[in-house]
Amino acid sequence: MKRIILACSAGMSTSIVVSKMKEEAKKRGEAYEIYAIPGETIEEELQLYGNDVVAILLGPQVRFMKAEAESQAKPYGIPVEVMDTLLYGTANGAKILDRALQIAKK
Amino acid sequence: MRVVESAFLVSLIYESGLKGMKRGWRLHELVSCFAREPVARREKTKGGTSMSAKEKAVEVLGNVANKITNQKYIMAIKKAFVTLMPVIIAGAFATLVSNMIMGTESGLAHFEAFRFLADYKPIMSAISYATLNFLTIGAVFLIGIELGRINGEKSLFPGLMALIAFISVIPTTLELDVNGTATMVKDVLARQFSDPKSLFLGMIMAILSVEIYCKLGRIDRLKIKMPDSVPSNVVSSFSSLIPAIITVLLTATLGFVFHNVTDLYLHEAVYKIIQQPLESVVQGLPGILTLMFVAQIFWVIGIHGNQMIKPIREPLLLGAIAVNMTAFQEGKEAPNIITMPFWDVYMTIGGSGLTLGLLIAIFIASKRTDMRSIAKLSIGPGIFNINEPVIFGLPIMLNPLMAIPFILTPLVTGTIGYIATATGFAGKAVVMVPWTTPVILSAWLSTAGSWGAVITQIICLAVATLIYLPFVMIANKKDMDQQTELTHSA
Repeated sequence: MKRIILACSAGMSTSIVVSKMKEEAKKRGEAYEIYAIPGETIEEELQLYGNDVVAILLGPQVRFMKAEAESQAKPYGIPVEVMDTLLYGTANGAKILDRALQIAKK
Repeated sequence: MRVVESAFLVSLIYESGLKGMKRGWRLHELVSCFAREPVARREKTKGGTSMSAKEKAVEVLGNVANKITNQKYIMAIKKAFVTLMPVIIAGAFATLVSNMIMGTESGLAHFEAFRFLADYKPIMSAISYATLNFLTIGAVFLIGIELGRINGEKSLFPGLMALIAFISVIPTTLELDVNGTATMVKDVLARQFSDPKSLFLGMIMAILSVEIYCKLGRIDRLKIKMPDSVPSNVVSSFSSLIPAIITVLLTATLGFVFHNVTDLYLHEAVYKIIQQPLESVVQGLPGILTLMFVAQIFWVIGIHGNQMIKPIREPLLLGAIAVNMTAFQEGKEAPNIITMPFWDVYMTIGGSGLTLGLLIAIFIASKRTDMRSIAKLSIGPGIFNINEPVIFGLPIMLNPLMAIPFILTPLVTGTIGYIATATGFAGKAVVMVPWTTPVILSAWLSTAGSWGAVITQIICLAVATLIYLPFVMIANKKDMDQQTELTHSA
């Protein structure tokens, strides 16, 4: 199954967004595995599932990780984006999912 | 001074932010921007002018954040401490069980029927010795691995390299006082080298040795050549031979020469010159408040503040709680007031900035539906000290009105917690608890059942609510002004 990864500091605050996105994906009948991980483990995650991951979204509070995440994701051609702060703060699962699918690796 | 710079920057944020508010950069407007495209909103916040002072300040702080987090030694240390966390928690578990269940004075074993539990205390002591007293060994090994990985090394050898280099500079002969006569004991690894007392020497030796090892590894002439038919794994194990030998030769020589020239061991020098001064700064109230202040400034621009201060905070505060746990386990007085749980219990209730107090203030006084709905969304995670929804949703980020209490509150409650602990009203933290432990439970568990600590924590939460209240009321008023303005202009 295709994967969408969300990453923040400990993967905890981001899991709030994840649950909203899952709800939304289910509603639309989109089959994606969406989950949160700590930013430090992106590289290991990609070593395991790099070929299935279609997008990496970073929490705005760890936007300083973007450059590193991009270099780790580049070999797999996975786009990395920092989530919009307000969509993130209000856990707007629908809009974030929209954006993820828009940038997702085809 | 970086702190002074940050203070200046934040005053810039306030000033220009207030101007921005007059220009119409308002909270509820931002919230109502959901429906619009992100690009449109960005133009709106810029207000059509060129880069403002606020944006400049945000950019500068953002760059500082990038520099800090992409610095490889900081990255390695941070990652190592993330991996070390279960070790510390395991030690905490053993300490807790040992005292609250198997303890004959304050634990369950106090009662006759459970007295037999006390016999099993050595199990818990073994766990706590294996975890808390070996924190430095774990840190050295992990920093070595992480730094090696950052340097492009694929094997786990740098972890071992770091450990060897560390051991190569410490004395293995101890002078012991046995019945009044000094006796030399050979071939021992003293506890002060495996527990947090040598943490900084360990971190320095790990970084130094792995850097040397990786640099040497890039020199082609030092590689042992093998025919093509030899498997690549075998080749790589041989190719690291010469760099490893040179590295350990250099570190062991360093330890030897240092001792002969200065008559001091390297560990004594590093402890006295680096670790002890840092510890005493962080153990003092001004030091810990400064650290918190810096973290809060970063949060205000929407960057994970704790991530910025972790490289300093983690070794010192985790070291402090490990030392307290060991003392508690051994029935001694815990030495440190400021520890990792102190930070979590008194200075981050509901997340950075004690936003649980803000949520309560909103439920009490806010007339704004936008703020109330964000507060409702945030209360669940807030109980577990997760507050990104508040910081980005309310928002606190780049919102001068909320930034003031957000920065101020932890400084006030930290002072309250410090005074309560120093006077003995609240117990010192003697057990590490995860930062996600809810309020009241966190104070009770981390102090192994001090009700004074629980009361102090509740006072801190009440004070936080009181500090946030007026700002929530101003936010009500601002919303009303905006409404009238809109009707007038319409």
